[in-house]
Amino acid sequence: MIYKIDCDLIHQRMKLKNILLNSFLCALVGGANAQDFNNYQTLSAKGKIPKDYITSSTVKYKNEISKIEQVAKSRKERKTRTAFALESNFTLDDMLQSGLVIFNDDITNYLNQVMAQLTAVDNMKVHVYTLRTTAVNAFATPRGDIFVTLGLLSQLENEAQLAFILAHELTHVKKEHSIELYLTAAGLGKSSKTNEMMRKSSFDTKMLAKCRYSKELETEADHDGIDRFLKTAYSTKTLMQVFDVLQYSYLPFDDVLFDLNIFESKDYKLPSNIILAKTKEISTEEKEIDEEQEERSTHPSIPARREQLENSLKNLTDTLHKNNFLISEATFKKVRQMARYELPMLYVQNKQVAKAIYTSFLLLKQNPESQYLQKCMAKTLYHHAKYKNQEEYVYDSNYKNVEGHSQAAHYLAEKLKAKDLTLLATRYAWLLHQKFPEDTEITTIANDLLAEMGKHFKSLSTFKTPNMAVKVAPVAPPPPPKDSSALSKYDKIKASKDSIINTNEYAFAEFLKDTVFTAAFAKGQAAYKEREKRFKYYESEAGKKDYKKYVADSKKNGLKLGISKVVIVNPFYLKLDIRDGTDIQYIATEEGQEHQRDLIEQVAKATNLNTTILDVTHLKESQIDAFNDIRFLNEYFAEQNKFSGLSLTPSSQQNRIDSIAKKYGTDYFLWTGTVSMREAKSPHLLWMIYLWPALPFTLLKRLESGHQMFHYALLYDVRTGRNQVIKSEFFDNKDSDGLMKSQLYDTFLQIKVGEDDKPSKPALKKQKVAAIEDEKSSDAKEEVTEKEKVEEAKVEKTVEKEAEKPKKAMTTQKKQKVSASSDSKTEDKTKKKQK
Amino acid sequence: MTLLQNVFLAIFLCITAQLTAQIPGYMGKRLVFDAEFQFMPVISTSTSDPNSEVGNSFHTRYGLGVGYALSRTQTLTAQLQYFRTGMSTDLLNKATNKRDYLFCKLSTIGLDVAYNVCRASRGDIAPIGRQVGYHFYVLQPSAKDDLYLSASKGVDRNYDVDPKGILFGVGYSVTYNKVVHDKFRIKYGWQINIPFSWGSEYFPSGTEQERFDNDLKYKFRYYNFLQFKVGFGLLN
Repeated sequence: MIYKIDCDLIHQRMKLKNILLNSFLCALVGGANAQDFNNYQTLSAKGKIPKDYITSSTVKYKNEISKIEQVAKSRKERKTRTAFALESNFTLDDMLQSGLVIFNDDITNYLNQVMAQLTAVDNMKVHVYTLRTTAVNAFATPRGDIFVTLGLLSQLENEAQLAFILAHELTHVKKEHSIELYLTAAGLGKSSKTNEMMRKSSFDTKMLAKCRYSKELETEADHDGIDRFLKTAYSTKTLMQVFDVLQYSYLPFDDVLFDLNIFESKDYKLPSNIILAKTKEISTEEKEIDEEQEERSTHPSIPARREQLENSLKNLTDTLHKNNFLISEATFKKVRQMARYELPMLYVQNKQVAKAIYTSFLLLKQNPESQYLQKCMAKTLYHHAKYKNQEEYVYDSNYKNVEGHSQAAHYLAEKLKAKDLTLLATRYAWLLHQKFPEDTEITTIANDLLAEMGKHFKSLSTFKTPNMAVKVAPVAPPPPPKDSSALSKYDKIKASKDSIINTNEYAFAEFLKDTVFTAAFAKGQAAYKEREKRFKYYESEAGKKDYKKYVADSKKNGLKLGISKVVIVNPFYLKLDIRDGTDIQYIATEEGQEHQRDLIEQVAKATNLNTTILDVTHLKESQIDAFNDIRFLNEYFAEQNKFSGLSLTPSSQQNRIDSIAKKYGTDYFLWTGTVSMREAKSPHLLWMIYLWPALPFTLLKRLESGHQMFHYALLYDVRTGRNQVIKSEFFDNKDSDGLMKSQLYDTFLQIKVGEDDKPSKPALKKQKVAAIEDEKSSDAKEEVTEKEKVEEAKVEKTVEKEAEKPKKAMTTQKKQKVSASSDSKTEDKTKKKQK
Repeated sequence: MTLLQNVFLAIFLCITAQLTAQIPGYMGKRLVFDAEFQFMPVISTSTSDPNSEVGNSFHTRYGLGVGYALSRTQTLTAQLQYFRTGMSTDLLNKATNKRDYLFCKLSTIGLDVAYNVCRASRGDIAPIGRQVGYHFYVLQPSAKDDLYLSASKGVDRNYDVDPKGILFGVGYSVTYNKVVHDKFRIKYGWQINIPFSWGSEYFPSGTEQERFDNDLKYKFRYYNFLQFKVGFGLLN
């Protein structure tokens, strides 16, 4: 009894100590980097860059080889382990350097604190990283890193559940399950029966055996994970719900009735036909998986895992000191909220419209004034409206498969017509612009949407305020007939049409009398008309001729962009040897990457082009800002490619991109790379026994080197989104230094040399055309950019000497000319694509 | 050669003066000094009877030239050439010949000026990659060896003539160029040359001199028709 009292006292003291310690840590983490959810900033890496990120994969691989020598029992095992080390190290480093994995941020620090609770028993060294993706997942890598996705964090209920998942992954690391599975697939596993099967069976049987073994490993991870978990002070009360998280991972993090109040006003309502009267209920039964699916799954079924956990927890009761939160409940909730705040932006970037709308809505319910969330919503509506305004756009989604209240958001995104959507997006963006007039991202979006409005509305007279409507006596709808069977088919259709309440005319009721809005609307209309005029010009014979001339001149003389400084982001190099199936030559790829960087530096020097190369592998530990810059730029590039159908839309994190451009002193960022391939020489000479007439052709083919090279260079003006494909070429040659240098030199020359250096006749004509177009047209996007530039110029002017002023003006004018020419080409391309 | 070099240098200086800061070429190197070897197997219309089979031999041509990258896709080249025909002595047989033929190692010096264009659509940048060339050439053939074959007067008869001529024509070539060690360019390809006039093989009337002059020119028109070439150049 005494002993028990003492024990409880000790536990209470420990708990107090834990609370104090954790409060201190939270104060450190939370206090220093308090996240303001109103002005939420997306997560970014902090502190020093971990060595894992900047050490070359080859070095890591070579270090592992020496360990393999000691472990491997046979030559085959050594070979298999080496292959695994090679593949895993390079693939992992690719992921680390992509910018998807963040470190030293509040979420990652918290994850590592939870991990510390689990490893306190054996002092195992493991790094936990946050993976910026919406998928609900966690996984371990053979190097001892564990990755937890934001999607998973957003769904968890407490710290204990997180700890259990980490404990599961920890077992994978400790027992080296990934290499075990790899060895088993090669017939070198622990089970001789499985090995036998792997050696002698067909591909399909091998796959099944591999899946079966994977399930065994997962079961083991669950089992050992719970053992480790039980050694901590975490409570087991809510552990079973972890499987609910997995089961319902396809749903958003909450299920709340989707009401449209956030879009509507007293007078303006969305069309009634886009409101889903009843949403599909969430299936409470566990999905039935057929035998084949079950066999081919790499994880045991959720019921099976649930049962195993139940058995493990059967005889256990939580003692007093057990708790759902050991670090702190507040920290968990803050971290989870941060993960949830990341989701809408990730959905926006991945073009998942309905999910972006619903998650933004869920969070806006909690924090209606958050600028960040409102911007996420505005951006989603904006992109969706722009896409729907393209005639051939097909929205790839099916609301029927969606469960829960989020189905209403999917229905809205699918059913809302382009006209109504454009109106809704414009209204939302303008209201936001009124709230945050200093936010250039919102201003850009609002102005561009006003230009899009031109497609559907020709003047502002379409819109009314409620007072104006009173003046016109509303026509009373005819009373519904008592007997519907008395109606004809056409009357029924008309009645159905009439039943749709459309209040589009009140969409701008709040600001219809605002002169700023009316002026912006007029500008939008003018911008739309100019855009249409330009499209028509490029479709006309004269326009086509002019474009042909431009293309011919570009081919002959290069693009002549006249840009003096460029930032090259993560130069890409990949070496493939596809003679025996697609095979990445990892070490050669890394060596090639280094070599390509050297070549870029040499060529930049030769062309006298001011270049900065941003490359993760060449960063120092302290260059965290550059690391984050690369990540945001990579995201920008991926997003621009995803939204390539839309011309000149600002990126989802345009403000951040603008600040990066300002930091590096240029708006121009280059993504360049090379893929070197070696393919099998075909056809084989033996075929000539049967096909002897084709012998000369075969001999000729056999003489070819079998090498191919693909080289690309894409230049972005990151402030405006205007882009230019400078290179995208295939060569039937090896990626020799000569060829690569020649291509890089030409790219840099096209960037560096401007029209003013030596204008050829067609180029001069094009300049004139562009100048005329420029004078006439000024779409909303350009205005904002120019405004920004003027503002920047003002700031610069105060600093610079008076003598330098004319020089600056000249440069800005030149840049605008280049941008205008690039713009006209992009728009033309877009139009052609649409056609 | 010194004089020629000076001429070329003057031409390039003129071209350079017209261009601006834009520096095409390989890493800004616009000049290529080339040594070229061209060959064609002696298939027909050799220096012997055109109706007979011939032995294994090559017409060979040696050229020294200079190239200049005008823009990212265009180069201008000029080449001084020495052309020597192949000879198959197996055919020194009086019985097979019906009339007089030149049978000797004919030679000529010539000048070939070409305008070459790269395939911009395939990413080739002058002076490397695949280039299509449009040529203008001048040949001044001569036959200084004393070996002639005559149906009437037998083999090895010295006619005491010194056949000469001048030929003009245009050509079309496809050349593949590669750069090695930033300094050297290797190339290979083929060239077709078409004379302004093919002329006639048979020239019964006229003096011996005229007949041999005609034969000399006729032969060169054909020998020059197709050439395979390999070359090595220095980039500057």
